Amino acid sequence: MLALALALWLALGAATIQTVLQVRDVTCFDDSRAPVWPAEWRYYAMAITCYLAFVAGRLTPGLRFYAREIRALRKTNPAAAAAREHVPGKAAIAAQAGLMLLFGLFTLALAYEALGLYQLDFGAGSLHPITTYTRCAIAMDPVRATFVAASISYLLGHWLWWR
Amino acid sequence: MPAAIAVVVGFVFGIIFLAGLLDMLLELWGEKPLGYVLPRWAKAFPLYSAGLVLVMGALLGHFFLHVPRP
Repeated sequence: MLALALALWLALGAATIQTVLQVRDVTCFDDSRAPVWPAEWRYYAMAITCYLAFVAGRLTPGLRFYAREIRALRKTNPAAAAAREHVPGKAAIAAQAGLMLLFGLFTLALAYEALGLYQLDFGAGSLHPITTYTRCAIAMDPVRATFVAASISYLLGHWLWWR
Repeated sequence: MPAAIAVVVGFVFGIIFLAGLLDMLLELWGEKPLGYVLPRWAKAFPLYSAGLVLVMGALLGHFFLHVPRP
């Protein structure tokens, strides 16, 4: 099921990139003087969708294969279940490497955002901050943009909401 | 501009795809997937994970909901 979801995700990504490359007329904003509370209802709908996806991420780990396996083992052999719950070195290292990669990418993204803002505000270059591009994407296809934001929220709930 | 938007779109989709792939491979190898290991890390360090969620939420809000005046 996860493999199917990944294949669909890849297909959606490829289709979105294709759409973006074919678009000729797109509304983009560089204006950073945004109101604190957006005027359009669709932004609230996006925020609510992201929040619901975050909660769904918290509620669904029980459906995963390993969780069902451990639950079944607990009923028949609690000692084996406890041993199965132990996190081996390879997984711990993979998780830590993943987290480090994530933090590294955040740092790169924020550094680029800062550079884009600097160049935009001081007219020092042609780069734009990431926010400008996401605004273009939202203007082009709000439903797909909401889906992407909700997917990120889902993963946050799935991985980082402790239990 | 469309090429730059395509790069951002590819970046976002690529990161999530790689994370999902790693999660799936760990499960296929019989190891604990990220969905098991990361919540345990979050439970061990609740303030770190809450901070991370806060930062990620703020970034999401900034990137997706920070709209200009009409």
